[in-house]
Amino acid sequence: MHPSDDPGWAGKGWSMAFTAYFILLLIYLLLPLLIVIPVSFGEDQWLQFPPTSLSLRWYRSYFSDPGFIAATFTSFWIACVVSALATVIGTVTALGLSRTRFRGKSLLYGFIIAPMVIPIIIFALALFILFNQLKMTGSVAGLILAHVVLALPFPVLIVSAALEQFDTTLERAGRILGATPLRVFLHITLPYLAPAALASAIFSFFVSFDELVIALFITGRWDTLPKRIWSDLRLEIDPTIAAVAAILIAITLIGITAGELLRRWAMARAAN
Amino acid sequence: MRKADIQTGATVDFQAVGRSFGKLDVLKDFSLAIAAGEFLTLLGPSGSGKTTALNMIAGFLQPTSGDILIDGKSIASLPPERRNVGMVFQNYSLFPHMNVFDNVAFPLKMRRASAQLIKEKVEKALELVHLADYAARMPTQISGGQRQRVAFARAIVFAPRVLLMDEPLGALDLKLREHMQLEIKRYRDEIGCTMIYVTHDQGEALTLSDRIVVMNNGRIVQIGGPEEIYDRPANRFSAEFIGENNILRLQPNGKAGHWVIEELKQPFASPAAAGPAPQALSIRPEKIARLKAGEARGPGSIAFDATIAEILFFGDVIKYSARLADGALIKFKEHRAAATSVMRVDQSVTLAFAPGDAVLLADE
Ligand SMILES: Nc1ncnc2c1ncn2[C@@H]1O[C@H](COP(=O)(O)OP(=O)(O)OP(=O)(O)O)[C@@H](O)[C@H]1O
Ligand SMILES: [Mg+2]
Repeated sequence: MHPSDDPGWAGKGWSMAFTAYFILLLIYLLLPLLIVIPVSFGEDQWLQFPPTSLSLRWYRSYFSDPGFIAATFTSFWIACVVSALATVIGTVTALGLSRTRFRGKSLLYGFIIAPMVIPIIIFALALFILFNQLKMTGSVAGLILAHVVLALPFPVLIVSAALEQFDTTLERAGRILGATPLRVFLHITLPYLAPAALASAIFSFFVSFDELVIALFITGRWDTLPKRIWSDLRLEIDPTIAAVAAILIAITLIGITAGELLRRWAMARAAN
Repeated sequence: MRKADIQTGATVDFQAVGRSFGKLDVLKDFSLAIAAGEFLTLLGPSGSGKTTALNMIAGFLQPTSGDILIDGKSIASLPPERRNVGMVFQNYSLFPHMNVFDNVAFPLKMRRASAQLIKEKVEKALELVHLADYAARMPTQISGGQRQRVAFARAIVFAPRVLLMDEPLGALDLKLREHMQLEIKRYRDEIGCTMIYVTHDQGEALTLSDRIVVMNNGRIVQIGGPEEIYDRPANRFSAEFIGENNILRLQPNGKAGHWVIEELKQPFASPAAAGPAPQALSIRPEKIARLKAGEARGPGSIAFDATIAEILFFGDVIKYSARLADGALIKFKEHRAAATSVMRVDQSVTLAFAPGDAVLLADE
């Protein structure tokens, strides 16, 4: 900024204060993660920070434990299914909400967003009771359905935001240029929504992939990865968990960053 | 593009078309026959129903009464994609996820043209709008004027027989707008289709059109060529809306064809015309001349005294506003070449116009 440009209320003193503020905020957010990573590379028998010497011992231990690997695969494929279902259902819902007007629309919107604010343990308890009645405890389908409900706010919110920015004259342009309504949807609306839908898919994936509470209540005998970590923690505090945590942190950071970049790209493109 | 490649334009007929939104009548008894290959402009203030009329040709809106024919056939039952009409929108409406080539290719792909044909036609269309080198760019990577040219190429690449343009230059700045007017003139010479153009810029309408339809409140107020509309406004609305004008009130003087001009307190005579009794006359600022000291006024001309109230300097032209004895203002302009010197505010002048240059107006 040129020295004489008026910065509004954010003057010189402020910019230093903000810098300090953001540094503190980053430390606060990242400190727990920053402790886990060195621990996972330790040589010691017990969780210890800082580690006395470095090794890949616990990573080896993770990759050679069939229980952990099986739980990881289970979590992974369930998260994939949840991500696909939530994205499709959420996109259709957002499309419907944006193109219709009816009484109680905001109420419906509220219901869809509700899983974001309802304490998850209450939701889990309710599901536990319901699935007991339906004799569905222990079923994979039950967990998938529950996770879809939990993930749905993401696609609905993200795709709705993209649709709000969507200029519907693009669809008119498509029609007058020779496209049927279906082809307008396929060639214009859908490609436009693709980045938002992809971002939704990534967020939904992680909602399911690292979800513990519902899994604890309703999965019965088999393990998801978070559940496996949890039960290991209760038995023995073994640095294998630190290695798993470090891997999860890396995957999540990459995934969420990709999701966020896609979401921003979708918004920026809509602004043109 | 060679003329031979293009189909000729179609005729478009509005037959007593009406359109309402709820209780609001937006178009009333709109009847208009547009000739094949004509460049017709719908000109009117905001809210006069221009876009509504255009959207009914496109098929985005249905008439609530009356019918629209293209080449003599009703289009009421045809969806937009089957009307074979091109359209250029005010805000370009290029598809953001497609590059320039794919945008222009879109209508051809929808018509399932072969890849070879698509390539040929898109290249020709981009050549027409001088954007042959921009095929690979995304819409965000080109300027506003270039985007509008892409939109134009996309609208004509499939050789529609009618091309609709809804304020296509509205989003551009003045310089670019003037340049694009010339471009559009060039396109219309090279492609033969019927063009229907919407604008509320009267200058644009006068420059581009074969015929202008002046609209107000959902009704047609006047139809005519640019010269006719400018020189012989049919009513007060046309006279005030198109170009600059002075409107002076007329009081009947007992005898048919004789009046008193209220603001000037001078008699005015004109052969009585048929139609509603005129209540006012209009006289263009450029038809009012300043008499130099001692200069005799022309025989029969109407002369009057005024004092200069306001001066607008435009370089080549100077526009004056002068106050009459009764306090009303009258506008006149002088070309720099003819003007001896720029006048000062409060300077007294004698002005005159020839009765033949005045146009009689009924209120509506
Ligand atoms: N979908 C609609 N619902 C209700 N009223 C409408 C609708 N579309 C247009 N109108 C009204 O119809 C009238 C004419 O609108 P139209 O868009 O045709 O005007 P226009 O001549 O194109 O104006 P502008 O120069 O501002 O674009 C306006 O009063 C407008 O408010
Ligand atoms: Mg309009």
